[in-house]
Amino acid sequence: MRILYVEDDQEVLNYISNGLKQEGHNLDTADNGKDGLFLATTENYDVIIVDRMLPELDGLTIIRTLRGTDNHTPVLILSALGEVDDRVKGLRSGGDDYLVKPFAFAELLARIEVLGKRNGPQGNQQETRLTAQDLEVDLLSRKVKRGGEAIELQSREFRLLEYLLKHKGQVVTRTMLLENVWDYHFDPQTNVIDVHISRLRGKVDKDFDVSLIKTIRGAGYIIEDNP
Amino acid sequence: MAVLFLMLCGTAVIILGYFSYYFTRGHFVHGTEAIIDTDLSYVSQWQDPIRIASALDRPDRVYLLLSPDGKKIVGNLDELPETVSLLAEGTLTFSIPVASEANSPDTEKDYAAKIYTYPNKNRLLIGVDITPVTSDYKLMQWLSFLSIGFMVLVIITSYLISRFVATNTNRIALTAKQIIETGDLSQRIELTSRWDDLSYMAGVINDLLDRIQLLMRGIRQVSDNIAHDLRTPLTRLHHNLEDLRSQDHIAQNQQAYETVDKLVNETDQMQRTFNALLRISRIESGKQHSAFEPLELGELLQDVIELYEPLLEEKSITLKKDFETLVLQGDRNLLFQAFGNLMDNAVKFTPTGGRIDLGLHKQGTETVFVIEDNGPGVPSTDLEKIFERFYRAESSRHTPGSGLGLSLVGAVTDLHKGHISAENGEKGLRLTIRFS
Repeated sequence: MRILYVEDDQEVLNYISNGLKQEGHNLDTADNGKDGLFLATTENYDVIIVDRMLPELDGLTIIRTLRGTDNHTPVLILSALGEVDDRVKGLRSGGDDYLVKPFAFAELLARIEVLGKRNGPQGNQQETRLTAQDLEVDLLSRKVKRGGEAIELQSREFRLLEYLLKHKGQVVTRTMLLENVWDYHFDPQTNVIDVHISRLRGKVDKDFDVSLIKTIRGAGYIIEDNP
Repeated sequence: MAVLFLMLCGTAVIILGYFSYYFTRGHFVHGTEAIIDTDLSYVSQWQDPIRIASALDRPDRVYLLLSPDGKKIVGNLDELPETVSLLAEGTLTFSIPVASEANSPDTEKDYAAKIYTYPNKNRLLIGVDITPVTSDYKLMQWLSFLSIGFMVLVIITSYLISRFVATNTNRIALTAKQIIETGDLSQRIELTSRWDDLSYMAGVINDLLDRIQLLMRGIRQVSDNIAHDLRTPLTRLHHNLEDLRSQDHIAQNQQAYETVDKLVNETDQMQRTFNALLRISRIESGKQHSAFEPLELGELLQDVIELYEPLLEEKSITLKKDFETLVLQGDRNLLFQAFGNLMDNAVKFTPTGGRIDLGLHKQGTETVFVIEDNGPGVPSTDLEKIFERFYRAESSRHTPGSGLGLSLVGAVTDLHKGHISAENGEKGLRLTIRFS
């Protein structure tokens, strides 16, 4: 993916840049808002990452300017201010996702992958059937089958599985699950998400040789199409 | 208050005025009557006009003895005065022009008089000169009116002053209340004048607010700086450790991997505590209401229960809930966090096979949320402290947790104008939140 990263903290910039390059992404960087906006408007990116507080021009102004010129490149906002109000402000100004510093690199990576796919070709059309290996999920009748056998899921389990399948082949973090499946932004004090996943596994993976839902250490979960 | 003051003053003046009027008048009337009565008591014994005349012929008396057909027998008056008025029961008063004395032609003399009818139907009028007394009386009356007028003036002035004081103190109180409620320290008391003590006080309070605002800004600045200066290196540490963990030679060495993994988790925990702490102080100092929206609390709680359901099942905890449909203005994410923390605590401290009770009710104008577990509870001496930062019950020192969960609940409750209290119920710890 082609990514623009605007960040004034040189060390974080280096660290994240190296990480993203290692993951095979094509990265442009800017260390102030003016240069960032210039690159964002002149080049074509899959995802833009902006820090909120930047010299010259702050992150939210960059986003508003982009949206004002009908540029809908997905934007992820990074911020050291972990307040709900800031999140609301950030998302209202046209940002697509919001990540509070400090964050785990895996979290950033997972979110970028999801944002990049959103703009991709299949992201816009509504799918009614999701599959992975021998697992089939019909979103209309809300039926789940694995290897032809029907599986009964509770509604929240269904939504968990649906979210994992929609982002098939991408790592999904616990925070992403909370924000998207539960639709709340909060910090669980315990590993409550893991317990939900293990219950889902109990129904989807237990009686089968191949485990579909995989844990990625230090990051989250993934469902892959190929065994 | 102003009205009360006015009423009290008014009543006092009326009573005072009445008494002074009553006493002076009474004294004056009685004195005059007594003089006439004394005269009469002598004169009434005599029938002889000459004797009567000689007794009454004094400069401060007038008298007139009339025969039954109204003719003058003797007296220093020629006829009964045309205009008389009643001074008291049986006593008349009238004025007679005085025979011109060189330079004051128009003077009149006032007399108080009684009429006595003899058994032979002769009538005798005796009058006493009361000019000095009436002039005194008039002066007194004038003074009374003056003092009443003055008192009325005092009342009006004090009413105006007390109304002025009341409006101004109310305005100061209102501004203070608004600042407490909204947390908006930029509000100031409006100054309408400069000369009075209240405006001076309002000015001083405004200066105080300036100072508080400055300090608050300082605190926020400091915490922002801490956030920036400590979080950034912490993030780097976290990143570097993650990086190390993912390197091949570490990933292949089980023992090394576990050590690095532990370090990653430790830094992660540090960051979480740090974030929670910053978040609490932000919520406490910020008073942000921009994310507020009407929320159905029961639905929100249902989501919380749903999230924790697997944990409840793992410990075979029975959950009993009793919710009314209640709508509250609030920040859904923060409330979810607060209720989530409460639920998390309850699950943590409830023994396997125990139970948790949740209730949501309307009590009067208040929305009351109750959560009760059947864990060990908290020593009664510590009940007040559980909302303090980093409080950990003795029994839970070795369980995971930061000791910030309930502080966050407290901060969120405050933000929603609620009040949280803790008590040891029949079974375990009972926490009650009242939203007004």
